[in-house]
Amino acid sequence: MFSKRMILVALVIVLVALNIILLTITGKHTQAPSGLGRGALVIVSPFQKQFTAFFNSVKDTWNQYFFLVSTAEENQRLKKALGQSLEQLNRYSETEIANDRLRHLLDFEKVIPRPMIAAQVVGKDPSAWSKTIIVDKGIRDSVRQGAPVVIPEGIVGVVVEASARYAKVLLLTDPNSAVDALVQQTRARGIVKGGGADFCVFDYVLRKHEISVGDMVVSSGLDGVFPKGFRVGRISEIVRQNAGIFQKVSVTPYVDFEILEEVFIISEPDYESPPGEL
Amino acid sequence: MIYGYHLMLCLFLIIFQTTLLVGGGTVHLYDLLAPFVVYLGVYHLPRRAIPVLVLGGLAMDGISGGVFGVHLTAYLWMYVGVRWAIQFLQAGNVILLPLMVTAGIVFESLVVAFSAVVLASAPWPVESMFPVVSAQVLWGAVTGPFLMLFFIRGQKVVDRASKSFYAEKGHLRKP
Repeated sequence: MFSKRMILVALVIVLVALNIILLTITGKHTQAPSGLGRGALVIVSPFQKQFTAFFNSVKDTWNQYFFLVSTAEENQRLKKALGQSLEQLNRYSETEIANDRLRHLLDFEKVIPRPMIAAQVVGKDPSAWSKTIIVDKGIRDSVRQGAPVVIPEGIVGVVVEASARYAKVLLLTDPNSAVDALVQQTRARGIVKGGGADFCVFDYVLRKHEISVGDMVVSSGLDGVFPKGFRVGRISEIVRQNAGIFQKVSVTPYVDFEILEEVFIISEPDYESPPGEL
Repeated sequence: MIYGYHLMLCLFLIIFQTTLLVGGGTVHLYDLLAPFVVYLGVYHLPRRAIPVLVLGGLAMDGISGGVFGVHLTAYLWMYVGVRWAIQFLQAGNVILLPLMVTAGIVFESLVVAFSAVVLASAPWPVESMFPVVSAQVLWGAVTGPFLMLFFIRGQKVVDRASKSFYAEKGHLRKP
């Protein structure tokens, strides 16, 4: 009744359909099913670490021996910047003391600082469609899924998968990323989502809020992932449409994701120690 | 020995493209395993190729933050497609071989782009598909055939080493 060729074509169609259904199911999750992703981290990441270490040592040698000329100039610039920073630090110290005194007067609970784990970037996602990095710290170093990842410049992303010694970090610019944030100056709130390329979109900012290009966006702490006050980026574009209650805002992250080498993973606060000792 | 060569090559390509090649111009970076899959399809039977493809696909999916299973899917279907195509085409032809490599890169880029635009939980805009895929295909068409030559040359070296090893082993066994 059916020829061999027809059966083969039908079989291929069924397999393709089945394949698309399976991909649709896995596409709804950022974590790989049954720890398969963790398996890949265990096998491939040690090699990535060695390869990155070798590459970095070659790069360091190059930088140290061939770019000494610019060091003196850079030293002068850094000394000047250090002087300015020390002056700024002094002002911040005064503010912090005043803040502590006022919090005590108002009987506010003391904020418990969360320990940070330094990690090295050992690999990056080669695909143009997903923005992740692999770091050399894992469950053994108290890194957990959902832990925020930062650097002094600002927010990097969040840990989406962790094996014993390595972890996969979803970058802020990935469309799956989201950070509850606010504009530092005006306190206008919204959600910063990855724009895919080198920018983010700041969604749900009400039209009534006055914001301008160049304003700093920081984490609000309301998402329960990122602590309050971490820098996200600065507003690079604002589009106020005639209709609608929100404005379209683009944010340029402070972090340069192309040159990331070391990051800090924020772990859970150590509640066992008395708050006063932290 | 050939299994070892394929596994080492697969691992090297994955590490190379996730450590050294990332940085500037990531958009142009196509998956280096695509020419490797075409090479396996043209020169190796399923029992030699499938285990390497499955391991390579799972490793890529584990490292990548995209839809899990998309690399594995692309590699297996690409392999099936190449095996089917070489029934009609002269695979060793100097023009057809680069064309097959380019077709493989086109297929792989489209499958991964489709997964990001349609299947992902936070899909990319459709308009972002064209510049990325076209850049990947262009770079793949230029450099992919050279990678293929590198794989073929490597296989010849491994075959020669394997033959001389077994010949020496046989020679030693003779009384």
